[in-house]
Amino acid sequence: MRSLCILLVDDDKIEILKFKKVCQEANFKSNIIEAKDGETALLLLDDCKTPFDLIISDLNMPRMDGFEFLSTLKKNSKLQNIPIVILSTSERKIDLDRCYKFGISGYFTKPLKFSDYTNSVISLLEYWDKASLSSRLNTT
Amino acid sequence: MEKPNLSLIKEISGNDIEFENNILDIIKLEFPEEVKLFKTNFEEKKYNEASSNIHKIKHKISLLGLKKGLETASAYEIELKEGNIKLHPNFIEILDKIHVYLSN
Repeated sequence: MRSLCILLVDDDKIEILKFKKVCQEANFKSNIIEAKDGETALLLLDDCKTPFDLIISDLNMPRMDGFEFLSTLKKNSKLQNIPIVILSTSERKIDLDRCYKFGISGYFTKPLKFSDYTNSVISLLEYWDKASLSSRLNTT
Repeated sequence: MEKPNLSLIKEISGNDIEFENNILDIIKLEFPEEVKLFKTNFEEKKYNEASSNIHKIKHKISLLGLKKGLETASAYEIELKEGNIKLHPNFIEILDKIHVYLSN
């Protein structure tokens, strides 16, 4: 398995610990860069020389929330094609619809049970690892 | 009546004591700050902000195994956005319970 470069946008330190633990236990070799809100994420995306394979973002964050982040990201021609997956506790259809209108690549509701959370994160990472690999093969 | 417990944190941690302690340290550090912010926003009648504070706090309620507490917090998060403060005493009771648990 190749190493995915992931931008994880979440202000919740426990969520970041959980996500990293799942990656570690699944032996998923990923380079995870953290951003505590949308504003920090945009700065990192602008500065970063290595392109991100995937952005995983929460919705409820201070300063710039997930919706504003999505809106700004999708207007930026350099960044708009990076796949973005929402990992949120919100099960509200209105939130999901709003995110899909911005052109997200996936929406995961954070399950309460940790084993379910682990399965969701692993399937998400495996999917994007394959997708990223085939995209690179197609461009070479 | 349900009490805060570490069962979910232990489930997440596996046998990783360091990880378990890391989570507990974050809760002990952030919970009082988040509660303070919630109470300030509530007192100033900034109910939308207070509702966002509940969103953060409810994750910790969930991690401390308070299933009914989580239901109350989730309902109050929605109701408070509409200016309905009926569940406020119930929510404060949950916060107090956690405060006592974390202090011991």
